[in-house]
Amino acid sequence: MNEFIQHTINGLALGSIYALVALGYTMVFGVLQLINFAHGDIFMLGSFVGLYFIRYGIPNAEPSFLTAIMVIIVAMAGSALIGVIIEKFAYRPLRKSPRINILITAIGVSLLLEYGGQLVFGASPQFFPDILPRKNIDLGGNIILDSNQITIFVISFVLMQLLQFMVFKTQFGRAMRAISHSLETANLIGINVNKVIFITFIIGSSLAGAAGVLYGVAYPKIDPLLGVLPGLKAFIAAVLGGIGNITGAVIGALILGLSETYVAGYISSTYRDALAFVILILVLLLRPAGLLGSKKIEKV
Amino acid sequence: MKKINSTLLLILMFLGGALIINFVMSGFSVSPGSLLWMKPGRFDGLISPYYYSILIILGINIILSVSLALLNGFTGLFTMGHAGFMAIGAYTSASVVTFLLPNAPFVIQLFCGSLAAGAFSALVGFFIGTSCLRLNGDYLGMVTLGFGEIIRIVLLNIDAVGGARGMTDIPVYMNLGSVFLLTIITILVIKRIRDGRLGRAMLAIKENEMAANMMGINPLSIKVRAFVISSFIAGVAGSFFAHSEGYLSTQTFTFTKSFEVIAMNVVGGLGSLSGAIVGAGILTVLPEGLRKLQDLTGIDIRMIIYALTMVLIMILRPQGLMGNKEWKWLSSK
Repeated sequence: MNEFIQHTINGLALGSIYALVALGYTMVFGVLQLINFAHGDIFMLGSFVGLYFIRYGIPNAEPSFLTAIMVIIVAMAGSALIGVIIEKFAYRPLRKSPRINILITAIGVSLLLEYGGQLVFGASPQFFPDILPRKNIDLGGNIILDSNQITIFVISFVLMQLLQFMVFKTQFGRAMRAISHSLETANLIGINVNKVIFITFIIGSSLAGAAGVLYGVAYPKIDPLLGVLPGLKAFIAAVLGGIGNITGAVIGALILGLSETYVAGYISSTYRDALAFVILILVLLLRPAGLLGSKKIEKV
Repeated sequence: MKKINSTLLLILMFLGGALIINFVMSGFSVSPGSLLWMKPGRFDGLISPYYYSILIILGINIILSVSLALLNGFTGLFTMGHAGFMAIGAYTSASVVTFLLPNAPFVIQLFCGSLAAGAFSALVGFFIGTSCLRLNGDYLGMVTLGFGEIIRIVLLNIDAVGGARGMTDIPVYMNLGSVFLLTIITILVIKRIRDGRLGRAMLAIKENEMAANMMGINPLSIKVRAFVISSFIAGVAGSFFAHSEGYLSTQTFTFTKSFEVIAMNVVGGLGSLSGAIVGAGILTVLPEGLRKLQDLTGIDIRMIIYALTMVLIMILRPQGLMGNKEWKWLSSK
């Protein structure tokens, strides 16, 4: 039982990181109907921006609450910048092309970031330092709550609340939801579509950047290919929850994080990566709209 | 009747070509083994082993690329799991040859191995094809990517084929002549499929599935056939790969490999058979030509080139280098 609780805590922490990445996938898909393959690599770049900021921006900083906030904000800003550049130079020229072309471009951008990352950062893993004082809290009965896990829970909760507010309570959020219904109609009623897409990329990418720092905190070895699997899994989480649906993305990510941790803990860690793909296939074959998504009827 | 004869003639011509290639490559030896299947004494030949191996890889890449063109280009089914089919073929053939028929003559080994590779891969393709029929566009891509990765992870966990260590000591049978011959045969087979009833139906489905259905084409059956044929050929390509490298590792068959094959199709032009060949040629030869640059920087620059060409082609020339055009000998009259 204690083991189960420990796995649950670890799984929720992993799921929270997936959730932050999945939100970016789901938002971009909502407005553009595009699987932004490069999103996982923006997550990776967030991690590296954080690392380089700690290393060169604040070389003498002690791990503290202020350091953590600073690193996360810088990483968010860096990822947002990269996301915007990608949107402007790779996706925007293709706005009117067939979806397959945009998807192939996204794959290309993703590969470019991964291997360009190897060129810039080097291919070998680098150590991500602590940004908060590390402390293990014993909950009794061998259950350990890592202080890093608390950081992950708190920060992802705050960011998700912010996002929820932005999407459902502000003018921008209303425009974004309008575009996800119909891009053309939104354009006709005077919404500046390009601007909203731009802001969507800023928000999605900055969430991925924050997730990148949290990932570095939780698994302190980072390399330029680290975004590939978490990126794919976050996408799968978004599909599981119903792509385009913000609450769904969070629920899907938590389910995925938990089930992965259980499989790794009770069955075999080599099959952990296969699990996500099995979930993806099952969801798409049995309920393509996802858990919370609504079914779309194809008209002639 | 006339058409069959001309195809036969072509194949005979290329068979002769393959014999000549091997004759020259083996340093003008006339033993029957070195002429068709066995690895000739390639180091006495006219070109260095390095270029020799690039040419073999080129042939295998062309086979992969045209087999994907059948799915991606002609039927419009965007799949991202081609490396999975190749992996199945490679491991099946290697297992058949090393475990089932270790003492058979090499012709039988290679024949049975490749056939089993194609058949098993086609079976998996049939299964994946039938289960993915409801999906379209990028969702189909994601599911096939998932299947490809699952295939790889399962292979990684089978200890009999080496698991994470990789499979070693696979007999090497392929030489330049045989790869050349089989590449040509594959291209001609795909061309004949495209120009036949099945290919017309595939193109119709790609243009408009609903309209094709109205015209009396059963899209589901055609799609499954496309999957089966394509995965058969990819499996055979995997088998050739296994018997030309002599070593298999699951690391070769990650989804990056699938993306490479997609990039070949895209660069050449989706929907063009000649394009698939051109794309495979460019993306195989270009990185090798830039190896000097790689020596200088110490980084595998190949993937950066793949990525950049993919993005730039999509932005600047979305129809690919060949567009919808075909070379004369591949065009449908």
